[in-house]
Formats: sequence, structure tokens, C-alpha cells
Amino acid sequence: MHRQYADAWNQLAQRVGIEAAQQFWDHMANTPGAFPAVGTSSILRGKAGQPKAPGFSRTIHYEISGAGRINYQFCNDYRTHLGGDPHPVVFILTIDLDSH
Amino acid sequence: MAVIFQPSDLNQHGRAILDAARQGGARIRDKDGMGLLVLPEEHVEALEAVARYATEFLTIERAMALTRTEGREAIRVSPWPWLASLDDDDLAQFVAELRDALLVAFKTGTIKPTEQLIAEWRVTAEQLSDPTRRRVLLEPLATDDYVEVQRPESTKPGDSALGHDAGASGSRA
Repeated sequence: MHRQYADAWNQLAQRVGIEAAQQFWDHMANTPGAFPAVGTSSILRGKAGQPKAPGFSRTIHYEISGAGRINYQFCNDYRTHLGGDPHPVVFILTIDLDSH
Repeated sequence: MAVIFQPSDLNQHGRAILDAARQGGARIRDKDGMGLLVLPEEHVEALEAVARYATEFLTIERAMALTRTEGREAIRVSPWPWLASLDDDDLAQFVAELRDALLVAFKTGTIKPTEQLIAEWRVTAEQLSDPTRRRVLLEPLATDDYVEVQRPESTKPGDSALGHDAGASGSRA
């Protein structure tokens, strides 16, 4: 997760509720490219939606019941370093906890 | 093509008029010659929405033909002021995609794809309206800027994400 949003992440459960926060985590960890069973998701358009690296997804915008919005990208075969083992990873780009 | 009925059919063949309307449209020719249409509500609403979006599209397209300063001001007072968060490239892409979507909507009478397109661009513009979010969303990936995080207040000891790691490196999960 981008370090700019570490505080927002720590506030997430308090702001949206522990159940919703964990539902987001479970969705992101297991099926980041699917439509969520709880909450809503869409793809950001334009430059903000472009993959940040080869193999990355476009930017997914996940909305938690109007109380929180999280943008992330995922990669199914990310390598930490050249020659490293490929593994799935999610990059949480931004967290928006402002109420709309 | 709508089936044409007479005013007397309203009493004598009401069911036929409703069936024709459901299948695309029923036209009733009144005694003075005025034509009246009975159409599915969904179809009329879609046509109204396409007309509204087309008007707003033309407003934005016209703003883009002005000088940059004048155009940006015109967008800020347009029906879609949120577009002001987009840079010139994204704004041009939005206009091109909306033009294509409206052409499809005119041909098919289906407005949902257009509504989804506008909704996604609106979300994008709202996310870009905050300077910090804008920078992070648009900047190149720098993995040093990312840290590992854990499942929020897990109640089960050792419970963690089994699939994707939420950070820059799985080795730091």
C-alpha cells in the first residue's frame, strides 16, 4: 500500500466498520479482478486507469458502502526482483475516506 | 414501425393497442389527424436521456473549441463541472468515448452503456480532484513508496490474505 495512505488504512475499520474492511481485504486478496459480492467496483478511465507496469491490471476503484473508496492495481505474476518467483500482489494506490 | 389505430379502437381493441405499444409502438390517428404515440416507458426514457447527454456532449465539445482558458471556464459552468479535474488528454478521450457511446445509443435506444461510461469518468474525475490522490494515481510506480499491510483487525490468529499480498513484495507479507 502506498505509504501516503498508511494512516487512512489504520482508520479504515473504524470508519467503514470491521466487517466491511475485512470484506474488502478478502475480495482484494482472493478475487481482485472480479466484481465484488459486497460493495461496488469500477475501472478508472484515462491516464489514472493505466497499468503502472507490464502485467498489472488497470486501476480498480472499490467503493465501500459510500464511506470509503480505494483504488488498487494487481499483478498475478509479480517478481520482486529479476529471477525471483512470480507471485500475486495487490498495490493499494489510494484510500479516500471522505464522506460523499 | 408503429401500428396505426383509430380513436374508436381505444374502446373496441384496447388490448391490441397495448400489445402493439409493447412491441415497439402504437400510433393512434385522432379525428383531426393528429398522431399520438403509445410507447414503452423505458424506450421514451432512453430517448430523453440520449437527447440530454447529446446536448451536454455538444456543450463540452463546444467548450473544447474555445481557447484553453475560455474552454476551462466553460467546463466549470457546464452541466458536468467535474470534468474540470481532467487534463487535456483525458478530456479529449472522454469526448471521443462519449461520442462513440452516443452513436451506439442512438442506433440501439439503449442508454445503459453511456450512463456507465459517464459514471466511470465522473468517479475518475472525482478521484483526480484531490492533489495527493492525483499524484499517486498518475506517477510511475516506485515500489519503495509501498509498504506491507495486514488484514484489518483480524480476529483469528494467523489469519491473513491467502492470495494476493497487499504491498510491493510478497516476501514482506
